[in-house]
Amino acid sequence: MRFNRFSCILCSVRGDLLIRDLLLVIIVFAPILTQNYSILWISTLSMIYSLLVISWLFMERQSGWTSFAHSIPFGLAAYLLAIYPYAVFIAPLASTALFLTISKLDRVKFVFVTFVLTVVFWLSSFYMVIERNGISIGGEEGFSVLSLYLSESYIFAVLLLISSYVFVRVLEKSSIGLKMAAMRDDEEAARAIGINVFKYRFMNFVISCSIASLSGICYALFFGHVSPDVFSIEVALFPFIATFIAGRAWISAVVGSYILVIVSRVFSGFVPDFHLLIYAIVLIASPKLRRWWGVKC
Amino acid sequence: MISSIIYGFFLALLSCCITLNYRIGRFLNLSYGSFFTLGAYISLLCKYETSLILSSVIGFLVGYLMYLTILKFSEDIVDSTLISLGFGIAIEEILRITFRATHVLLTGIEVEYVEILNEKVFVFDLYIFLLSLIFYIALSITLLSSSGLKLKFAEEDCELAEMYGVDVERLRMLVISGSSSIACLCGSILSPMQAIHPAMGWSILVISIMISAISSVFGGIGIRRYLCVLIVSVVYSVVLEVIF
Repeated sequence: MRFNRFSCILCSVRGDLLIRDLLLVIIVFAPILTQNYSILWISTLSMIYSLLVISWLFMERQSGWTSFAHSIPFGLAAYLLAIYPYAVFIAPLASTALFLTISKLDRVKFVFVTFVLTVVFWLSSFYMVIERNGISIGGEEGFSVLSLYLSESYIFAVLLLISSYVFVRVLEKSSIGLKMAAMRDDEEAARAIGINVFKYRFMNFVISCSIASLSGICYALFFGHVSPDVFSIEVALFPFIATFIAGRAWISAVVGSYILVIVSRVFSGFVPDFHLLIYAIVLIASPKLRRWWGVKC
Repeated sequence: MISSIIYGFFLALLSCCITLNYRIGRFLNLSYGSFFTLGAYISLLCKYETSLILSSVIGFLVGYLMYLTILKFSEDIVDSTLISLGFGIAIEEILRITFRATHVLLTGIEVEYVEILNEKVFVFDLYIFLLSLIFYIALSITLLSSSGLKLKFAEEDCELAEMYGVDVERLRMLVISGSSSIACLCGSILSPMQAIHPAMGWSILVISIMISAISSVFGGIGIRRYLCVLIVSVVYSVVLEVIF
């Protein structure tokens, strides 16, 4: 019975296994063929951000809660990895608890409160100082982490991205995914047909925060250093902007991340932080863009 | 203690503007901190006295531009809030690109202070206190007059107010542009007392939103709501001084 259901899910996923998935394979594996250090570097960073966008999109698309605070699980995991690696699992749990608490408010207030929390975490991270071997470290400078080689980071990012991508796609088509979608569309109606709304919201938030935390860990290992930038508004807005640029399909999370990372790297030589102006333009035009993509928050 | 009370008045001024934007403008103005930053940067370009006038005017105009964008693009509260965030980031980035340096100090202005009840108080803080006092008096007069009824009506139910002939759009325009102008002016007034950098407005924005949110718990309409904001702000700044 269980096997049949699983094969049904696989069949429905296989039906969509067309150009989009081929595109993902090309995007992810093409940089190896070039053997170019810069391309590999940009590709790895893009994949890390893609993971963050997938985590955000999973929450937004499956449960209907738009968060501006995915920088919190991302940054918290990176910071915990640098300060006390054994406690890194706290990041997704603490973030989930935070999101669940805020979700007691309505969906509009959830957007506002998550954004305010992002700013609070970002500003507080400048004051995060610890003493190690009699020396105070942290603050604006941040913390050092044992870094991976580029090739190792690349493989790590590829594995995480592909497994997360497949996981969310399979989950979307499963009964759990359908229950989450029902909960997203109408919580009252979902309750009426016997869906435990809190349970599925909790599951959704845990999965989303775990993927975001994994991307934070990957980020810290890639750079070998974490600073308050991991909590910045830029990171918090990244998923939102990426999906507005490339659309709301799962593959768009990857395409949008690549576009944003490439654009910011290309222009950073001429105008530092140029991509933030793009963020601003996208935000101002976001109502129009949303109607363009045919979505409503 | 005097300084913290004055700081409380400053926070009350900003929080009142955030509340007005939320209740009449129908959005959470996330560009507010950037307007404060804009005012501080304007004071780098010209004489201090001139910058006060210039920042008020520029703040009003940019606020008006934001209002027009919201009017044209926005359909609901989330749209408007995102547009304001876009404006905030745009202002910040334009300043970052234009001025390049991360932190700037305004020199050539002597930071004077006066002694009140054996406590040294900066003159610039007194300016802010004065501005806040003028704002509160003007708001009280408006709310207690006949046009205050329109304001209260628009706050409670803007659709119904519009049906009864209240020009809600005009009120929204005045609130958004006026509050932007006030934030810009505050930034300009306080510019000699702080290191000027593009992200300086975020902390002020967050504190103002928090005070606004806390005071909304106590409810009330009209002048009572804004007095509540003032009390919460003063209590917050006094508690902060006692703790730290």
